[in-house]
Amino acid sequence: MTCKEAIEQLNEFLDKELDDANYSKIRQHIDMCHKCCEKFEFEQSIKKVIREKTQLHKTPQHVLQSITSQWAELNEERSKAESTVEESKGTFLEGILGLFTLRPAYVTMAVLLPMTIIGLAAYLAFFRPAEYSPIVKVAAERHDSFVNNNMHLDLVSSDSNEIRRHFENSQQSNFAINVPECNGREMELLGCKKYSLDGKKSAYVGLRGHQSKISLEMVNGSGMNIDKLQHEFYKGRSYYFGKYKGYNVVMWKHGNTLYSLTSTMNREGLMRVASETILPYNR
Amino acid sequence: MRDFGNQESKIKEFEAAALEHIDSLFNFGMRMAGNREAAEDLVQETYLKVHRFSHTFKDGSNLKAWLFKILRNTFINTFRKKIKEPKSIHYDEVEDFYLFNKIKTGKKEENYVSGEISDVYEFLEDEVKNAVDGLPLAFREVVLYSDIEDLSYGEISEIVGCPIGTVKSRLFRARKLLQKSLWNYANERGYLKERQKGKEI
Repeated sequence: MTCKEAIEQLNEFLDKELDDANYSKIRQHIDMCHKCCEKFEFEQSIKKVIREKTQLHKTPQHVLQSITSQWAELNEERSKAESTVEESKGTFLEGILGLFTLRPAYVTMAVLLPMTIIGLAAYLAFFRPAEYSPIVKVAAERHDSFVNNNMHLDLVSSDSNEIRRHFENSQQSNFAINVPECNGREMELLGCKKYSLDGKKSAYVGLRGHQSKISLEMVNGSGMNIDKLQHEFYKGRSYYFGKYKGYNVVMWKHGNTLYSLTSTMNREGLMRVASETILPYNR
Repeated sequence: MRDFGNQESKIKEFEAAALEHIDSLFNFGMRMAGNREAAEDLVQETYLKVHRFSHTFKDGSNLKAWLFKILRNTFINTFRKKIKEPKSIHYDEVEDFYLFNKIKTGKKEENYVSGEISDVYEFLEDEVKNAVDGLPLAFREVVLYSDIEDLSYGEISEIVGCPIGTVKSRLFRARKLLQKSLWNYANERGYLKERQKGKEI
């Protein structure tokens, strides 16, 4: 092989587009020919430099998060639509629907369109959430007094064991075990108070988050009705939310306990705190 | 009766596989769209479409190429930019091994200006980025696919919808243009340094 022949295939060689036979022919030539070797290595290094000096951007976390939560929502919608199809098709319809399943796009459209219209109508007629629910209002006002230091805490402490004992003594032990372990997790315990929410005994814990104060309240929630609040999925969990006086309230049920988290943080931030800092301790 | 459990795990699998390439797509978006916000929007829009069109993806075919194809279409739609080869550039003005000759053998020439670069690794991040960003879109994208994403000529031809021959000629011309532009940056830097030295004296 001559230098000219080798150089003609330089790009293909560097881009790994040659078959084994041609590749080894050129490899042989480069090993023997100092001039070509220098040139090939130089061009190779340009390719490398372009890659190394431009490929430095990592996708921002919030983009990733909004994609996954969008997907989760879409999957939810999709599986709802699908289960409705399954339920509604009687045996005599099976043959006709069988034709449609050949065209998933049509059947999806045919199902989704009336579903959306009916769903929207039902939502507007029956389920439109009130501006705020009483629980949201209480939680937000309570947080407001916590933020403005108008609240008298029973116990000022950042020791979760101490807080746990505080609730144990008052026979609210089912909450006590759920007090999150917050030290060193960008989240600081400030204190706690026995409270009541919607006529039930509740355990209130004041926290200091990254930028703002956060209120966490736990109540035996088996009788609490939060289903009419708006809700959304985040990391596979269902959260209910409301807003009052500029505070966001996010609630979720775990076992028998209803958790409520209140702060000026936005909804997504609160759900993140819930799933990262508070939920793991429920196991 | 369909097996929904199985289908669900298949969807999860597909989603995870698609998300593995997100940094590649974001990088490509940064270079093509030119700024962070636009790249973020582009990637988000793309992944929404990925979900919507996931049923059109054929199992076993190349996922990365499929994702890039959607990203590219989204880019064209949102930016209303046609990716076509410009006619006004005289590529052939750039000789083979342009940069090699300038850096490795050019030192012997009398009018050698740049006192800066003696090796390609010395190029600054911004210089390389600007050189890439300065390429016409049709050239820029093939360089990104080949040099950064390591896609094969066949995969690139599938993404851009051109024959392999066209991909090759674009890529090779793009590399020449890139070398010339890199050299201009090196010169600029060398020139600035020279001038600064002059002032100091």
